[in-house]
Amino acid sequence: MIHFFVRRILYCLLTLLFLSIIVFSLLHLAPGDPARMILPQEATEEDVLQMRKVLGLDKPLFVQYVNWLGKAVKLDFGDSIQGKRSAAKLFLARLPATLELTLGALILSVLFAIPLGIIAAIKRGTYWDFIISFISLFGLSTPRFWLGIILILIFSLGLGWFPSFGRGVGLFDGIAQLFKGDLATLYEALRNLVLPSIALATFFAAIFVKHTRANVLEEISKLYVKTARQKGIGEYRVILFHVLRNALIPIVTVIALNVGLVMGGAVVTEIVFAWPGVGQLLINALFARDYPLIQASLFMVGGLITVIFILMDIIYVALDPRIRTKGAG
Amino acid sequence: MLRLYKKLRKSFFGKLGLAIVFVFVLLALLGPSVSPHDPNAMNLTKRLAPPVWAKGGTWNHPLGTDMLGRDVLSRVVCGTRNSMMVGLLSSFIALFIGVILGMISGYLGGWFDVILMRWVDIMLAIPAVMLAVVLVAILGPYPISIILAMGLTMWSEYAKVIRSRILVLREEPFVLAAKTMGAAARKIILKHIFPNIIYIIIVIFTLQIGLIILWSAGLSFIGLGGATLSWGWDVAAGRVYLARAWWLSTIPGLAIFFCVLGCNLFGDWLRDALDPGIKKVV
Amino acid sequence: MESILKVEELKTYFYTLGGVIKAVDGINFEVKREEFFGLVGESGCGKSTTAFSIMRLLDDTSKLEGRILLGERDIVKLSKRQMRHLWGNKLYMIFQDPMTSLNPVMKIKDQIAEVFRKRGGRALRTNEIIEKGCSLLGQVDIPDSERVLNQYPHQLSGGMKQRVMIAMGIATSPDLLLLDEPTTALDSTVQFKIVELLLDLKREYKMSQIIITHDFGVAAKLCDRIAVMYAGKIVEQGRYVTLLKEPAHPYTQGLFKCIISNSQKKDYLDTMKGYLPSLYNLPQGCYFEQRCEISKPVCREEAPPLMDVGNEHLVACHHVGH
Repeated sequence: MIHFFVRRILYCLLTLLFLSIIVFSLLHLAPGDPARMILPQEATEEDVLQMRKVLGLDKPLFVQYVNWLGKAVKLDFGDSIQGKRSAAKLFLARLPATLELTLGALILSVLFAIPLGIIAAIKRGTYWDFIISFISLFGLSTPRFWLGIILILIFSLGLGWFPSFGRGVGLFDGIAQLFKGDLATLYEALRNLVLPSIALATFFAAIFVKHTRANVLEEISKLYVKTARQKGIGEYRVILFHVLRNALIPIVTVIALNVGLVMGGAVVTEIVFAWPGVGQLLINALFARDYPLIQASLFMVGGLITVIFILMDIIYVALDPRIRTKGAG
Repeated sequence: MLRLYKKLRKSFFGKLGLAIVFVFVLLALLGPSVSPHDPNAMNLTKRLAPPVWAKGGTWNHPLGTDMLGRDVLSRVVCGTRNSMMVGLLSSFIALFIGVILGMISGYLGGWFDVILMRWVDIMLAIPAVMLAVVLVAILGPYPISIILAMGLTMWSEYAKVIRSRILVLREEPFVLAAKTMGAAARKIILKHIFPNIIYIIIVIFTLQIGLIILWSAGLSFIGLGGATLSWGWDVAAGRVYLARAWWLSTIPGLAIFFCVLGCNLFGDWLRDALDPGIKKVV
Repeated sequence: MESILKVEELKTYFYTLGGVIKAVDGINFEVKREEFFGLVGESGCGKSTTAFSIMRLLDDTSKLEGRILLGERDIVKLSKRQMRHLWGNKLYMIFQDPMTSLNPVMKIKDQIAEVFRKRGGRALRTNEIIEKGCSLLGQVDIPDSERVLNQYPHQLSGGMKQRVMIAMGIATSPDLLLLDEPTTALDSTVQFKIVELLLDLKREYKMSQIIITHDFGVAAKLCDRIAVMYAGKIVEQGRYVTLLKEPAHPYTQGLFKCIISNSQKKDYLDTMKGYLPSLYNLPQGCYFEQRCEISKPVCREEAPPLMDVGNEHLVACHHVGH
């Protein structure tokens, strides 16, 4: 067991190392001289040279990398060119919003997809299966940003049920307020979260439905399910404790693999809903060629997702006794 | 091939998918020739005209006009070229890179294999969208940026699957037996291995093409990649007018939707039809 | 002696896109109380399907015709819900592959405990489960039962898994126990033990059993009567000793010749020419005709009926019983 964890942690560190190399190289792949970009137009050649010295651009690449890495580990990416504040701090300030959205979308998609997938598998070949497959197909074909806009059109501008943009005070604050006995803030926060979450969740719900259906179908035809049935126990118990208990384990892996994609999808969703998250931040940084901010965002998102992967691994091990214990002959 | 055609005739959705894809490919190829108006022709007197079924709409502009008086239908028709081109080119770049790397990895193994697989795993940690976004930003505001960016982020699936397939096939008894039988046997190997790999490539391709079209539209939406005559861009441009002129964002988006739907329908059917091993049940 | 099970003209057809598979094509047999009935034949002849049909454990891709009488009730007509009263009660089956017969993520004790879940009754307390579990595992000769109860299936060997299945079977004390190739997936030393175990069960519990096997050695030790199946039909049926002495059907004769030559010195092995006919495309007459050394023209045209040649010995062959 310990062996397993040590390997995972080492792997995680290796991943972060590779990640850092990629992120670092981006600065140097880009056209244009970073020094020139920071300085105002009128800068002279000398100023540029001076700036390069300050930025450490005159040193060999490897040395630059090591210096950068040393600071990155402490989450010091320098100051954002736009905001003149610590890039890392800017990123962290916006991170909760994105996490909220990612979480909301994941929960929605899982809550929706798994029951549908199970039903589609159990009622395989019937109209239910057909309809669910259809819904799934639609979910896979719909552009996220367009769906968001349509949702705004219908439910915001049309019916007025939900606000059309913004996040308000945010979910975490809302929960904090809950303890003070204030439900209204939480309610508002959730209201803001609904449409963006649906827009982001739809695509992934479709993916999860397909996987759930496939996994359940595979398990349900296995021999031990017949064993369970012929013990005379109820069909609900057979499905719940035997089929699902096995079928849902691989789903955890699928969800884990998609967490990164959900976060990535948040980028576009945030723009549609003017959601003050990391995605918006990144896009603005890209247009402004704000390299410290870009690096900070990429590195920290990558690191975050790597950590999530490890968490998912742990959950997987907890669920599947075959990994926890070694087999017999 | 004939068997395939016969199967197609039996499947409603397969035919529907193919029809949709066909229409879009046709539009992509013919684009400007069949478009009723010049998609870039501005006419400020006829701004924001609604589609023909709404009040104030005319048959001259069946799907309305945008904020600069340009005909929406024409823009959708001509925008097809951009989407299809980006979609197909990206897919093929991903395919070539992935298949070649996967094959080398599978056959040669060694340190190349190890490094490649580590690299692929690490790529998982960075959301593909983010990477693509950054790549596009770096490469500059040209359509080729989106194509390259998507190609460079999507090849890993090909590589992984091809590699594992080759690893499995290498150990198959018939391959080892063929080796002992000499040169003529090499043809046998190709006859067996090749179709197998082709099938996998087709599977992955059909799975990815829809995604790629969706994502490239998303990148245009954000404004990267500098294609101003594209569906994604139009959806973005129409956002501001959402309350007044809903059709500006809705209609190009519908085009994306149907295009991807067609690809997915046809892709699903193709995968099922070609599948060598499914025990199908009535 | 009265019969526990009567199978009348049972047909099990599978409907696939490639065509209809007539896995079981009209078979008739009877299993009496306390009797060990063997179903023998080569792979693919329909013996497992017969067992699954009797247990009603096939899924909706198949269709059953005919009658299966358990006591007075025709099982074919029962719904799955009605079958649930019979499962774990009157019927139990032990499958061919012990490796996949048990739920991989459930402890052994929980899987055994499920057998005792009676509808309406209360679930067992932990100590009761351990007690009953240990007792059961002891009966099937599994040592260290308390430790085994807390393990997962993948931690047990194939033989032990098979014995757990048998233990659960004992716990349900069914009227009829079906065993699908109980020894095939195991190595020979373990096979021996399982056969001994089954003999013990016969003596102690007096259960009726249907044993499916292609191993005549096992059949010889355990079975009172057997039926020989070929391509979905029964070609010969009767007491084991009768068939051993006077096999009437060419196929049965061929089978016995293949085995008996073990004890003789021969330069070559006896075989039967040809292969099983494709189940998608069965011939019109006798299914065995293509491989038969003594086939007549009528064999190609008409399927031979199962005829009684005296002493409970039934044969389906045009050469017999005139």
